[in-house]
Amino acid sequence: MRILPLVRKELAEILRQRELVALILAVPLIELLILGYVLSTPLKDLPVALVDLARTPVSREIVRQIGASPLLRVVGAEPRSGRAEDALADGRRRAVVRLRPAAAGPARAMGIPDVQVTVDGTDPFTSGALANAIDAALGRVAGALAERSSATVVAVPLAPGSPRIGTAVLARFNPDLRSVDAMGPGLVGLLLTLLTFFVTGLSLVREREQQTLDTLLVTGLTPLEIFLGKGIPMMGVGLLHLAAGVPLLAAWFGVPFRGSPLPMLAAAVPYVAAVVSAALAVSALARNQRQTMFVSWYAMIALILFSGFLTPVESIPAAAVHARLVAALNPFRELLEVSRQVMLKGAGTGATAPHLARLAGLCAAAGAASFVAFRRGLRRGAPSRSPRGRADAVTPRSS
Amino acid sequence: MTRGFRAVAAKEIRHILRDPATLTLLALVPVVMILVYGYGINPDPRGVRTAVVDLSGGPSAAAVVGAVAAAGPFTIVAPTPGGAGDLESAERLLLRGEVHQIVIVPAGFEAAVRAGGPVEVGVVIDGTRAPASGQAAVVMERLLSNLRLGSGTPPARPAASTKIVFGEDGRAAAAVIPGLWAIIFLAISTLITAASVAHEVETGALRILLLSRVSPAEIILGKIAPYVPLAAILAAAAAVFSGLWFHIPFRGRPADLAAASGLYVVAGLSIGLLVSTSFRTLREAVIAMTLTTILPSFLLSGFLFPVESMPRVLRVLSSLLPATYFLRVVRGIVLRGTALRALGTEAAALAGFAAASLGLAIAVLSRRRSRPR
Repeated sequence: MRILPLVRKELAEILRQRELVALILAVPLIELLILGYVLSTPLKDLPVALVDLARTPVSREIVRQIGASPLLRVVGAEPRSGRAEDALADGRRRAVVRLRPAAAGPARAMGIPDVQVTVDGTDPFTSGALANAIDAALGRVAGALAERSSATVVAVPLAPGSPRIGTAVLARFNPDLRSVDAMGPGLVGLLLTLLTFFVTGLSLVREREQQTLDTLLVTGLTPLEIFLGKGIPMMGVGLLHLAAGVPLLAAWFGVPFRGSPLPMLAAAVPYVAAVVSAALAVSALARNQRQTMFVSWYAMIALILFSGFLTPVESIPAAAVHARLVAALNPFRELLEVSRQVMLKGAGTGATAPHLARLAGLCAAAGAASFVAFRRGLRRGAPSRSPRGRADAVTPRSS
Repeated sequence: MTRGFRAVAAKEIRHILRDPATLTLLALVPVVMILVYGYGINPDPRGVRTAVVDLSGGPSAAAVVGAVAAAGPFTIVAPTPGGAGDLESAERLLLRGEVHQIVIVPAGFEAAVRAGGPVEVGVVIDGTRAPASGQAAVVMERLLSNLRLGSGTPPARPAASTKIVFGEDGRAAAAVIPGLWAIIFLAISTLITAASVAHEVETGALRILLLSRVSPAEIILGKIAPYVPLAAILAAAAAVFSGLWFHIPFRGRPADLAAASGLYVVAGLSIGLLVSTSFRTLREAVIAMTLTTILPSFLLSGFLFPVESMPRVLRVLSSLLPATYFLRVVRGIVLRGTALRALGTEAAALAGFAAASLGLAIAVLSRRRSRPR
């Protein structure tokens, strides 16, 4: 095999640069620890300002129940006048709850206050849960009062009426809805994609800039041999991340691995191969490292965001055709789906087969297209940034 | 202005103009990022594939099913006529990921409603889709608790009038986009300077610059100066483009936003310089920048997860990121109409970051001059 020396050279080149080795191996794992830590933190302690102007037993119970909710943290009372919006303006509080004496009527006689809740909607990821937590605390008030005090005061809030429908939510496969379980596998995939893409992509174009690519081209290696010789070591880098990242998630954050590793491997190998091929293609077509960097950025962000990693693919509006298209052809989405099914749902090869098949198809197509582009890029010669470099190029530019 | 500064700045401008392909790619940043981020991050549950299992039957149960079907975020894909076997098949669909949640109306629901007793509907969600599945459950809870069955008067419980302000109701995108600017501006500014300096480090041009009589401060300032307007134009384009495209209400003063963005962009450009002078190749610089600055800004700044909920260590890390402060500023100014004066701490922090990272970049370069590699 003539590609072996090239593989050896690529590996030696990476290992020779101590900083690069640290960046490729150590930093992503530290990163995974920190980001995994973020993801394993449940929502809690969201600051809420409370103003009790009613001062009845019921309103005091409301204050107590809101304070008892782990999601909420009561912070200093706010000025009684002025709009609630003003109290939210500087972002130090996420909601304002005002308890006012009810206007004359049965509610006033019972000491039930008017409750006004104003929630800051600028953080759409938490505002809904916050509003629900306050609502749930209000729901507990009647029950708590009935339990605690003499019946005379409080039989009233339980007056019959049309029943309110409660909801019992059960989360399967991840009972505490820990984000680290759901997003951890995707995070490993993201770091793998990022590093493999950058390390691979910027390696070839760098050779072009430094004109060592010309040397490589005159060795008589075919484009396919160069493609494989450069690609295979980089695949090793990607798979190494997976091999280190998944056990780290399990050992440190207790993310389960319920299924068999086989489908995981069957998904990861073609995926990494596709990422490496795409990176080589971009690298062969680009004129300098900056272009490679920007194109890689665009491609990776689209792959990661239209995969269901942060928010589900179904949430993409139908009008966003470009997003739907990327999502439909996204190998990262399939990798994510397979790893979630395997790790959390305990799926085997059978259950993941449709995803594995689609992934294999997408990766084969991406690999083939990438190789064609790569060969064209190589043949185009070695355009350099400096005019003199262009004249030195061994292969003439074909038009 | 010193001669050294002017010479470096002029050289940098020529670099920018000489490479139109790269400049085009740069100019596309705002559009691409908004189209990708804007549609790729969407906290509103939508198209949540739902299986309904009605074990009770009767008009009240049908009303619950009808309400779920009519709700915008949920799409019923497995309507089942009743019976215990259906729960099993729904569970199988959940396992395969073909269904994202199961709504179960329990047996005896109808009778309990007629008796006026407490009633409950079960919702099984797919935990592998957290946090989105939890957000969908929040919407479901809200929908069901507001549903009134029969003709009875509502129960006498303290009822709240809840209002979510500043987030345009049901259109979370409007609230997400300004937060995204914190990430996009940072990516633009750090990557621009990283790309420019790393190239000079690799080709050895920086070493020649360092041997010349131009001081490290002049080099850093001269390199940053041309990029400030470039980054500012790109940032403004991103803001205007996404504001129009997604109909973002702009409640504050544009001048306030411009001032804060200016500080933030200078901080980002300096961080880009700092990282790229510390590494030998663009490859290392880009990887380091992505891992240490851009990715943490995404997850630690409070954009996705609230800082208040984080443990102390993470809150400290979060406070070391300029994005954390800019996120608060941009949400305040754009969505709440807060004046920059009311966000004094954040503005001061941004100014501090800009000054500190500029100073640090100069210091690193000076050290490099005295001890070249």
